[in-house]
Amino acid sequence: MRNPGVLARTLIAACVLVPASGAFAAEDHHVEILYLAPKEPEFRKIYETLKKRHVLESFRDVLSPFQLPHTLTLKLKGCDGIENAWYDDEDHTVTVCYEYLARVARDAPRETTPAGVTPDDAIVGPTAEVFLHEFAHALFDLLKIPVLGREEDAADMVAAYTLLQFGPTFARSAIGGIAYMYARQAGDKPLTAATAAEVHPFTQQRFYNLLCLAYGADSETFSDVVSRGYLPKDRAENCIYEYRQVDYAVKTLLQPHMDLAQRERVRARIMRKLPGSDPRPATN
Amino acid sequence: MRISSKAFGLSLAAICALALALSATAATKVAPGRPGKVLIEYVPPTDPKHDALYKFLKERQVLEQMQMVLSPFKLPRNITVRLKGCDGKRNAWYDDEDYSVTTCYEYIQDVVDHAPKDTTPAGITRQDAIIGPTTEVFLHEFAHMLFDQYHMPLLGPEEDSADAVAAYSMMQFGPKFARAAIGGVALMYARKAEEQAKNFEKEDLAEEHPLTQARFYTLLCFAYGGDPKNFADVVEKGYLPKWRAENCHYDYDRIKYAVETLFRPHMDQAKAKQVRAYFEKRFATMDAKPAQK
Repeated sequence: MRNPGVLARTLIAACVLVPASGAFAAEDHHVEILYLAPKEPEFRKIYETLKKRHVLESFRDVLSPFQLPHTLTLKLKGCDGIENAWYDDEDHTVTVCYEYLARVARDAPRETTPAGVTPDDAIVGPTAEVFLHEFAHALFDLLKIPVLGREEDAADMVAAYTLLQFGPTFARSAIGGIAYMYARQAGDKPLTAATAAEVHPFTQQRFYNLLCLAYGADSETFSDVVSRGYLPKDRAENCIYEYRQVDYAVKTLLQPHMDLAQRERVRARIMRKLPGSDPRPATN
Repeated sequence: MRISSKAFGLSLAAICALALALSATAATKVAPGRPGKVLIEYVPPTDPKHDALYKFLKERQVLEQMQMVLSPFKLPRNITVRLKGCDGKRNAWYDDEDYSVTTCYEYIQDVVDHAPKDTTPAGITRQDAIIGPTTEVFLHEFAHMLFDQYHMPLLGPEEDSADAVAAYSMMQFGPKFARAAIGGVALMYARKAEEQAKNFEKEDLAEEHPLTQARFYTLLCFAYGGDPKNFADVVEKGYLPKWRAENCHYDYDRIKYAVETLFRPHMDQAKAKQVRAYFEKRFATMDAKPAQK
């Protein structure tokens, strides 16, 4: 890492979702966690920090309300330079590469952007998103959830929906941070026939889908997304229906597999831990 | 309609083939106690350009066939399936206020006008190019209608889901129809993707529908995943990249599972089997040539 400040921010980001120490769900036996030591010295620090801060333990906590038919493994590892994350349906494992998290940290802005995205947001959002996105794939597989459209879109929706459930302050941070990442990546990847063949939607579309879901969930907290023109008005009009559709689908398809009391305990733990008690205003 | 009578004759033959699939005897059976009916309406066009198309679609009972496609569904209320003129707009939609599916004559006319005279190098006949998109537009809007009627839980964007249901449905009436319809729709997507690329605007990406080029690949991947023998040339000829093709059977299995899980409880299975067998038999003798090598 070129910038030591970036690492500090990664640490803050990594802590955000960590519940109070000792509060991990002892009742969950279905999620195993593995921190694999990286070969590359450059990831040594990120590895140690994530481990010390119990990042995987906190994500295990997020998954603890689900009644899973198999043990799910969460793994952090070095991937020989590949910035990736995936769910493997043969060994029921979610893997996130140190490379992916290092890139998130590297790409974060040094200062708050004109859109109001802070350096922390740009780390917290994508870090939480990559885990939640892969969890969605895992849950679709393990719980045999019927997904009609593109699975990648569905995983994006479930991840974004989850991030919108922890109050407006965190919602703004996380969604802002992910939108920042998508906007940045969209600039890197021009549209071609080859990118159209990919299973993931275009990054620019992911940007709009994300903002639309957020605006549909809470048009006050995310009003600037439309007033500043990040999301076209034409699309924004129907976002409330898009959000309701996802909300209904999550409640119908995923909720029956959850221990709702445990979910509320986890949510309360996470929300106690989230920084800032006042919603960040949508400044002009 | 400024097309030659010969070209129109060809298109009539194509729609006719689809229309033939309906016989009075098989179509009128309704499951006992079914609460909702599918009503049909051929609204006379206001534009005289569509007169011939209107008469033809009506004569060939295209909407009656669509009624038959929907007949296995236990609908909670009456649904109207309508053909009408839309003042120049090439459109089709489901209206969740009056529970109707409307397809504009303009949409079908556009499909007919753009169908190639001769079989394309990919092996798509003029007939495929008309039957495919004509069937697809109804199936896609039926999917929206069914999502609403059964309040179906959709995790991804609804437009992708409607595409998936339409693609799945086109694979249900035997390999011959699958090739004809999917080939025809793929040709339309290829044309529209080219148009979209020419006039590309950033705002296209903010739209709810996936990009047409992505719809093209998604459709071919689904078809190849479901029947790699029937659609082998899709990969051999390079329409679908090999790296994408490798995982297509997962996509197909996932969508098949989702369709069956979500729709089966609302269907009369015996009736569905009967409808499938009937269409499959009709299409087996349809004059649709397999892809030319």
